[in-house]
Amino acid sequence: MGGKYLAFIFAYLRANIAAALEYRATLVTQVLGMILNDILWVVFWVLFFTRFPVVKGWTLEDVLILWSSFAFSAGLVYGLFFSVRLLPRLVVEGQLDYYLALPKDVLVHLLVSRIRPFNLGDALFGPLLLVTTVDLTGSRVAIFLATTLLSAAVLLGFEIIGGSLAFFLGSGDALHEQLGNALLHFASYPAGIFDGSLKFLLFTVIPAGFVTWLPVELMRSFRWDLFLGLAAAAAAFLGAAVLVFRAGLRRYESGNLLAMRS
Amino acid sequence: MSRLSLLGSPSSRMASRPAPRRTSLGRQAVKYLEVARITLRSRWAYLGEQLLARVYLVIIMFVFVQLWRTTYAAEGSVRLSGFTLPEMIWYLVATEAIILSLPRVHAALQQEVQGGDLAIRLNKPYSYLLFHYAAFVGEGLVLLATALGMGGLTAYLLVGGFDFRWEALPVLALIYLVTQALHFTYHAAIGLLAFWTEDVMGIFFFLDRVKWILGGMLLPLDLFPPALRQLAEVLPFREMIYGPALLFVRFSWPAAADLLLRQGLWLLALALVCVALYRLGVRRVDINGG
Repeated sequence: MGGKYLAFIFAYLRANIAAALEYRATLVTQVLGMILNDILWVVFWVLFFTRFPVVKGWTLEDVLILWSSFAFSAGLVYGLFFSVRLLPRLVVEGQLDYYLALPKDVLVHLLVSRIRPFNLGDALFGPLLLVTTVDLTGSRVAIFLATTLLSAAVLLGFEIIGGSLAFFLGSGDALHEQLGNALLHFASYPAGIFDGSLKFLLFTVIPAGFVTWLPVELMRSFRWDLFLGLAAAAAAFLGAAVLVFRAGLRRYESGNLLAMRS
Repeated sequence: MSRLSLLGSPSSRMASRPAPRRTSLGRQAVKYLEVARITLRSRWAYLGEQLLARVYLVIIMFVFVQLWRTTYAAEGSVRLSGFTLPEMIWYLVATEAIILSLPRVHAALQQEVQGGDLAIRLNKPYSYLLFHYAAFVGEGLVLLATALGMGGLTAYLLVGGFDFRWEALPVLALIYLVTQALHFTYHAAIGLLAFWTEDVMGIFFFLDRVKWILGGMLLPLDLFPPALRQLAEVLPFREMIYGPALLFVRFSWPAAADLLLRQGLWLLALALVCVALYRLGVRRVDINGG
């Protein structure tokens, strides 16, 4: 069962990437554009830490790891599962009919149905930044990969929950976008600048802490309790996402649309 | 009254028609002002939606305040490169307001060039670039109002106000309009590259972020290392972001005059590039009926 689904996911991704490669120049421009965009954010932080070397215990290396992890996990989620960002619109416009009529799980099918080449640039940039700017050992690479995949799972779960609000609110595109943007924004800054109850919020309602700060902490010095905490958060967010999506799907009303799916 | 007298003979119509003359500059300006006004009104109609989209700015400003509050505390200083904390935050309000008040003209131009809508625009009695500029101004003013309103309110609640020179408001408004025109020429030039490339979004992403960094959007140029500051001095981005934002928080008449002069020169150069790209690009257009 699991193997069949994995084969289905990879077949879909392969087909989507092959379709994107049909417009090779566009794909390359978009991927490079995003990489350069990320580079310039890193330039900002280099400038900042050149002037102020330590901010609440965070150094330039920490921020470089943060951006490596952030770009990689966000690139995987938005690059490979871009439909998650379109979820509210698909729900409101009744465009889930296509997936309902097919035998595969609606959520899995929906997630893999679209890629976004722009964000694949992020997915390439993350590891590239790490390799070129951070001192690495075999164990650090393993920690990076494991923590980043877990943080991608948290991000994906959060996006599915945010997008599924449209089932209950009847709209929710703006709310989903604001929640997503808030998470990405908080996650791209050093944890040291936030404290108190805000930090609690950033490990629960808007899980920026799990998306970037824990991976950075684990790269600084690995601790099993933190790693297991991150794994538990990934399982909790993905599990909750599946439950919320399924509960929402029961409220879904068909759009009776006759349209080409692009 | 006979039908003939109503319409007149062909010859009498020719005789009564005023001699062809160039439309005056004033009438041309009215035409584009009208485009700007209509765009402004149509965007204003969705003000609630625009404000909702600006909630994100509250988060951005909140994070900036946290970052700079921590930094000022760590440095143990009231001023960093001449900026107090409120001045730094209001500088960032100004840079965000400038950047967030720029409509996506590059995307519109790409869409029209590649989708073929350009053909419909070319036979209209207006300049293609000036039409888009007028719409850019109209939409931009609504975006500016919401960005400045939301960003300013957040900054005021978090760090308080600063010593704003109200008497300089008309000059600052003029400087904003020139700043906006500079950004228009920069974005439109990138959009016009669609005549030659499949997709300009990647190029735009890169050049826009170069503008952000070297224009001092996230960090005032005063905090740059000397070599980078020197590079920023000779590029137009300083006049597009840092100059107007600095003047907003620390106004002086000589600095305003100097900025307007520098902006004027860059505007001339970028406008020429824009017009040249448009003229070269239009030559490549094949229009088929249908």
